Amino acid sequence: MSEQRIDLKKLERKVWTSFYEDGIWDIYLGLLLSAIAVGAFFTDTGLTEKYSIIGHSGVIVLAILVLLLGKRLITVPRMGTVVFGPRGRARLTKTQILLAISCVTGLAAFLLLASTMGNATARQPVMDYIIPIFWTVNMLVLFSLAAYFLNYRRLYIIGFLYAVAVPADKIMRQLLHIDLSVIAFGVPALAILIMGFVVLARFLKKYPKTHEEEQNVEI
Amino acid sequence: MSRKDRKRHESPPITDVDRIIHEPSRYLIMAYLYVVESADFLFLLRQTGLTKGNLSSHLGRLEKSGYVDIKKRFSGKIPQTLLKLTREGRTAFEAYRNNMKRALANLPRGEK
Repeated sequence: MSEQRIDLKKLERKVWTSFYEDGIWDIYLGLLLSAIAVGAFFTDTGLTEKYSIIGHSGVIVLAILVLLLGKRLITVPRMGTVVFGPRGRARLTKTQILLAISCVTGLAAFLLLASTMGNATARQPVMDYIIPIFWTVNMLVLFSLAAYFLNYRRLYIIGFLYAVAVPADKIMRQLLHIDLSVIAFGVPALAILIMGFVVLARFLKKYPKTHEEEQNVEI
Repeated sequence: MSRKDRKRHESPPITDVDRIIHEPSRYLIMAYLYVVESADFLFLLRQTGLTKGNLSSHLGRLEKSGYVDIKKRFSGKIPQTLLKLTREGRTAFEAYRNNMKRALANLPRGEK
């Protein structure tokens, strides 16, 4: 890029998107969705709910570890560190607000479900229609807006894969009359994980690990 | 003097542009540092595609001119070189871009 005309907006976007070039966020999100599949798997095998919760929580802990250690041990030694300017900080703030709104609506859905406890007639439509519709809309809106704000295009696909999981589970249950939650959550999670690992492999090829001395230069 | 000629007369001559920034590699370094708050040497090395020696020598020049602030620190056991545009560097970069834009916009059209 030796030309003297540089579009600073494009350059800033390039620097920002390089932050997601490692695929670590994709793997993290894939693992989070697979946690539901793992929980369902333990339930299907006839183990008690305790094991299901342990399996589910274990995958969530693994996802968090992958995100934190991946960035620290894979991304930073290969790509270096950057502190983003006001534009980048504004993007993060918007996404944080979005996440907070999504959490509040999620809590509202949970409270709605909790209010039907002990009332099977009232619970059925909530479980069959309201929760799947809420999940789908919430995931599509949340991930699409986050993808737009963060300039992270793969989030549109990830959002779609998250969104289809619950309706797919419900549809399969109604059509086949068997619980296929493992497949309904596991297949989208696997697709996200494969995408993440492909991006990670490309990243590792593009940015080989540097020697320590390369990070400390005499200027 | 017409308005157009007056505007052309007011714009800085091309020879007045900041020669420190005018060098393409240094301009690229300044552009990257302009769009972020700070970055380390490795990040700039990856983004610009310059060689280590080249980047190092250009950064030295920019530091000498007071445009880039260079700090060394340790991140755990790993040494890290942090780079940041100074306020002077930011102003100089903006001024360079404006000057170049005006100087190039006012060049007479060439004959076809």
